[in-house]
Amino acid sequence: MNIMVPLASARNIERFCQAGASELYFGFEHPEWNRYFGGFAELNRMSSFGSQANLPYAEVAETIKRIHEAKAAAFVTLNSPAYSERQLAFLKVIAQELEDMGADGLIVGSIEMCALLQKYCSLPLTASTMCAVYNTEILSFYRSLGIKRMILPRDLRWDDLCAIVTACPGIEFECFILRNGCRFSDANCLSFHSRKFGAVCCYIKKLPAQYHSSAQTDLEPETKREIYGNHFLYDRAFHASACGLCQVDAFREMGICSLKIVGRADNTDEVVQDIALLRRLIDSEGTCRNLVRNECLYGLNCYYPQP
Amino acid sequence: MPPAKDTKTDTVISLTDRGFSQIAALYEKQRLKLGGGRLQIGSYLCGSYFRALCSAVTPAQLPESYDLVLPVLAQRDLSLLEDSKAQDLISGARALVVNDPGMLRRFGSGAQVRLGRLFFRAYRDHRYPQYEESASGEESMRALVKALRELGYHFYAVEREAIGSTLPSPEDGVPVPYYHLPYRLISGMRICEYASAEKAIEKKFRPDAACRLQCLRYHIRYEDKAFANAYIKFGRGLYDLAPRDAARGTNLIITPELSEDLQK
Repeated sequence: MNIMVPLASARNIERFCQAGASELYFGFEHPEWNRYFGGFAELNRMSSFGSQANLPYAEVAETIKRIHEAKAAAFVTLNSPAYSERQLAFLKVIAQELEDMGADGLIVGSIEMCALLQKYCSLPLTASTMCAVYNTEILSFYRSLGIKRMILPRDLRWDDLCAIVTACPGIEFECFILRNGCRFSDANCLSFHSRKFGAVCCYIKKLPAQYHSSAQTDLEPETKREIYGNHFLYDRAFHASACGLCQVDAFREMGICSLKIVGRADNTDEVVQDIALLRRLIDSEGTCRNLVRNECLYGLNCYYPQP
Repeated sequence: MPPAKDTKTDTVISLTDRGFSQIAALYEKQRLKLGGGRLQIGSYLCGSYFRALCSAVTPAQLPESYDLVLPVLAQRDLSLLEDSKAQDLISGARALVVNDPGMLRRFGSGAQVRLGRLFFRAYRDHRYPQYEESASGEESMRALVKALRELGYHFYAVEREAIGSTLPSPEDGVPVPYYHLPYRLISGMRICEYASAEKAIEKKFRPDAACRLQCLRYHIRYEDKAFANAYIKFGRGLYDLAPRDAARGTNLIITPELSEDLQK
């Protein structure tokens, strides 16, 4: 089973691979992109994080070469949720350059990008979590575009995940593990995640919340207490971090191709620790039973709790 | 299914994710207020609500002409589409509103299909007025429509959110859009906070969890005074308020204000 990790700087390649990563993915900044399309146009999902999460395009060829020298595979992400036709024309040229540079695959997040690259690029495509593959009907759509690798969303029910994987032999699946949970649905979360005000899920926590009853009579006191307590847990404890190590064994049995650690903008030392931890668990064929991490508490930080 | 009429100023009254017993009365109230409008039911985001709707409501209880919104279904909810009650609602609908390419693939050949709001994926963020003033989302919508048509998919209309207050001019070959008012979908979630109320901690916050439709009883509003706007968490969606001047003189999908829900 591979470990796919995010790369925000080429100097981390060897550290990540020595820790156990076998696949690296990255995004890039292109000097002409914002000049042509404006300061708010996002080349990939994390463009707004700038150099904190993206490599300069001028370094991409060398980065791919170094990743290969470290015996790992290099994936490049073009996973914005939407592109204009002019942007697609721009990225068509980029995709062909990435193919020449020897990238191992492209991660795509929109129908129009999938359709374009299917026609003009021979690189294998991965359907990002931005493609919202929540069921086999959606999977079949992307499969019809020639995509054979899919990243399953991190807010998928465990039994649904198993059903999708089982129903689709011949598709390579990536599943999220560790680091940053997300309480909203990636594919449908369409406000800016960085820039001045940050992600909206964190932003609204700072705003005063008012509860409005749909009935013209007020809610019962006991119901109110339950609602307030539920909201408190949701706001303060749910997905403060994220795990999923408890399912590594099951992933192995299902034949999951790659476990994906997110966090392109995260602290490098922490990412290295997580890679090493996951590699130890995979190689020992062990199962985490809350022996390794203590985030399990009540399953509030688990990507894959049992339903 | 009767063919959809492609009028320039079609108005749809959206009662998605609303209490079943309220649909008829709310629809009538809004129709009188707006001077007309066609009913839309279903859900953009929630399979649990959609499942319950199919059990609770039959075409005979609805006006002759209604649109049905299909949510992005969980894997285990796909079988719902084979259920006779769901099929009755689907076949009785004037138009189906699909929100993912799976449902487009399933229903896109022959039925009157409209691309729902989840297909429109340009960013919308009132915290950045400079962005809202310069963007419209039209170009990305056009690219998506072109790609889908080249792949052989058919749909008569597209839905979108209002970004800024400037409306692009309609173009040949691009379906005239339907704008949602007054709520803009900012984010959706499959892990429903409301479904977790009254559950033990160990069972809270599960994706696509079974529920008792607690969301029909209340919603949460976050006032964003810095930007004279608000976020409303209603059902599985997080919404803000669309620009008031947006989308005049075009097809509209009007969601009655949540404060207008009737006494139980």
